Amino acid sequence: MSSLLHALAYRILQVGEELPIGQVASAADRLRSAHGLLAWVTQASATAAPAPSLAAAGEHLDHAAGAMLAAREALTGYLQSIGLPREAVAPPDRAWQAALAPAGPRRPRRELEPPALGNFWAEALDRLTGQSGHRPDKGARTSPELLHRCARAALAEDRGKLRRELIGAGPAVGLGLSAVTAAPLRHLAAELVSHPPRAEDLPEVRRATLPRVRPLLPAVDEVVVDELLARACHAPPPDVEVPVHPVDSAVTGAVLVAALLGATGRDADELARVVEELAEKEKERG
Amino acid sequence: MASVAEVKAAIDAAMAHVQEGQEAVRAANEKLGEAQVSLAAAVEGSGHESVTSAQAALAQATTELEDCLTATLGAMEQAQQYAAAL
Repeated sequence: MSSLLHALAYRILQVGEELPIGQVASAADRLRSAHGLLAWVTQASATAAPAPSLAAAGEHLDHAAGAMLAAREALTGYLQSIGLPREAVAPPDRAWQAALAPAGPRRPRRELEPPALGNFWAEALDRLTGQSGHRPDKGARTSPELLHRCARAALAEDRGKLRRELIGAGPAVGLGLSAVTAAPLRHLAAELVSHPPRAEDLPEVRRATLPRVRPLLPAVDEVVVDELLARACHAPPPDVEVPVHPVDSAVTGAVLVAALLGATGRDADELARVVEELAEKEKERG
Repeated sequence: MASVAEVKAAIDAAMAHVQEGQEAVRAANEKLGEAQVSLAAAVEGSGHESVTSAQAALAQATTELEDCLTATLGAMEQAQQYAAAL
């Protein structure tokens, strides 16, 4: 290959590699979380106003990702047509990395609202953990911090502490767990099965996690676990008659992260390293 | 039936996710614009069919991302109306 051709190939490969498929996957992840919450809102309330929908936005994201993949394929075709061997230009499969893309910069969460807002949160946590008692009014101020605290309590198999951490953080920070658990869940599931998890890995991931979740959240419906793990393994979600309650989904996600930390021989402090690894991968992708 | 406060909290949390999604879409669109400029510079003057296809696909991706942003703004407005009607 001449040096000119090589330089051209390099520049074109770089264009293909730098297409923002990871950011689009991040955006899709956020919209999926929002969609889950809105599905529950629609099911849990009855008003005459039209229910907010993110279906159209999600479709545009799908089409954008498809168009970028098509562009990458066309560029590969071009390089082959000008004489580069197929193996030199085959695009690496980075779809699994895209799915791991961590969230963009976090917005500061709103301060806790009045006690009326906290009641449903504390009541839901009493129900999920099967415990009651003191309800602290202070706790983690951000969702990543809450995830770390929950992981610590869950790995210590301390159900009471888990409940207190969650109640103390309040609903605004707590509901944000659903956004910060998706990427670590997929990353840790990949560590467990030694490759990016697929639909066929779901039973193994489930076997490794469910026995760790059940003692901490005795009242959680298994369909919540199945839905979150299916998402992590890119498997079809289970059929559900009613949308999963957003509190159940957020809390179970945090406990599943802890379960996978335990199943892969890590402790809670290593969660920070996992998050760093995810950020590093994002940085490498540019 | 869930309480109004509970439903409003869920709507607020959903909208926070949507805003983060919008930030990711804007960042993606910016990178996409840079990729289009880089590609145009690299293949300047080429009329190769594959290059034209790639450029058309990138233009399509830009349009889709812009339409996605518009759709999320519409959904946020709907959510505000929905919360007000509770």
